Amino acid sequence: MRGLLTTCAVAGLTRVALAEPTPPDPAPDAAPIAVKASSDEIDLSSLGLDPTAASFDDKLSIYGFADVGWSARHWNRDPALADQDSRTFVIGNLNLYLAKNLTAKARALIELRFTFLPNGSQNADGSFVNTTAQDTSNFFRPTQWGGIVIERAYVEYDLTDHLTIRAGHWLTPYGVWNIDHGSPVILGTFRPYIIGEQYFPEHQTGLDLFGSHDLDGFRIGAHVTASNGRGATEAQADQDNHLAFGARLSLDTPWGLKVGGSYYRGRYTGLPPGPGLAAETYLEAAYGGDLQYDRGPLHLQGEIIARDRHYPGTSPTLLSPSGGPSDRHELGFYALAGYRFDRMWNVMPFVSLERQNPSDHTLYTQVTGEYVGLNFRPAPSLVFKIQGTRGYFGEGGGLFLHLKNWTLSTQASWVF
Amino acid sequence: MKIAFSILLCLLVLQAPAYADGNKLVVVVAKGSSLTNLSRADLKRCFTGEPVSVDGKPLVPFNASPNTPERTAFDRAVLDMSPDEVGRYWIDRKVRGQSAAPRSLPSPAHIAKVAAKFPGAVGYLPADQMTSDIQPVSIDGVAYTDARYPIATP
Repeated sequence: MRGLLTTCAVAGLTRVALAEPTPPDPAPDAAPIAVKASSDEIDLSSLGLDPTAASFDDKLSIYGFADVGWSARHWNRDPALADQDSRTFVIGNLNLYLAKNLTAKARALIELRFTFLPNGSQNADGSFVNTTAQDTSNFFRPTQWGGIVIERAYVEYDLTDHLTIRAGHWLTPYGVWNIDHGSPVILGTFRPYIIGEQYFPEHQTGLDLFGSHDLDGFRIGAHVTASNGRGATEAQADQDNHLAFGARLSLDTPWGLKVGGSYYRGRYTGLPPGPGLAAETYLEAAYGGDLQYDRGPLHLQGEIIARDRHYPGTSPTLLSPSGGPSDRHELGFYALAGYRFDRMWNVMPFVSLERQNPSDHTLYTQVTGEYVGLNFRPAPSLVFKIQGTRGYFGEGGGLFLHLKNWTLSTQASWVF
Repeated sequence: MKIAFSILLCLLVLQAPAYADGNKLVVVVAKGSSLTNLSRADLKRCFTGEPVSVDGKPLVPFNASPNTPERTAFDRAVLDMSPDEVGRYWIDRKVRGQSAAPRSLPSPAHIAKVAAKFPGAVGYLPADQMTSDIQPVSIDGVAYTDARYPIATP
């Protein structure tokens, strides 16, 4: 037995000796690793990599996402502003991205949304926009044209590894949903009401200084923004020459919990409704908190957002004897829970609850939404969704008091 | 029975170190680079699309091909993600307008070559695929030859 062990030990030593040369990074318990000669037969240019060229990918990337859906809605009584029963297919988004690295530290991104709007949208006077035109290239047959929405157009530069400055037209960095704004990324078929209501402006035009720092498994992120603020022409001209400021702080923990807080303050100024008439203007402040928790397949998410509006210098006028609009406060939240399975097209059942208390009580004083749905992701770039929604306008007053609706919506969204 | 057990024990003694090191995934850069150590957090940042620089020069990460044991093991050990989660992660980043995934290379030999020749390149490969013109990078001060080294294929 002892002889056998001795033989083994000798064999082991012999093996170590044969395994020399020395490993590249010797250590006390260094193991014998054979180092190969370099593989000169591999041609980097065949991989599109040229060591003498820029060390970053400077090719223009063109990609995007799109979604198509079908929904059916029923109201418990005639809502007056819409049909009591409706069923329709809809093309929701067709967004195209153009992305390019300009240098190793600078990038540019343009996101365009192609839409069939404004065709079919309703004007303030109740009439509808009709873009039907005669197509001269097709025997003057009727065709309808749509529009292009510039969702994002910015350039950004890494000042350091942890600090980047962005200039242009960007999505306001707040909460969860406004960053995850693409339909393949979000779980449900539509955004929560408070996100759609834009308590924070969805886009801003100006500067966004942001960065993150990792510390012991935690990641601290921050944004500071200065922009034209919300306005009727915010991307082209600041109607009031007042900068709007915002900030966001976030913390990612090693346990899958992410928390954040956002703030925005600015002045809104619209366009004058007619020659010699004053434009609507008000000061606004929005603030919100958000939370995400991912633990394996479990996903929890919630946001609470409030907005205050102050109408300065509202002295009584002939049209507004009371002195114009009074200050307003509005609040809303949503909470969402989902669980991603690794079977049945990676199905994720989800439930959600949301509530909004608007400042204008003409239509309603409180709306509550309850959702239940399934999100299938058979491939990372393909998502199918089905969702049932119950909406209820309750409490207080307004034209919609005790109005209820039920919506069944489906959607297919994909990244291309 | 005792003899059989002894033979088995000897075989384990002989094979275990080589097996373990052969499965370790070594983070590598060009020979002579000033980069000899990376924190695990910076390695994760680098391979999840965040900028990481050494001496003012950005690191350019290169991945192993998807669905290879090396890629799966690296993604699990460093990014803490399964292959499906990694796929969703990069698609979601694209839709958010954030940076794209690092480029994947077809074999460890390609990763070795690119790490050796391409400015700022950082990759990973099995320890037994090391070549003479690349150097290993320690993770949180732990060399790949150390038993505590955290990245290995199963």
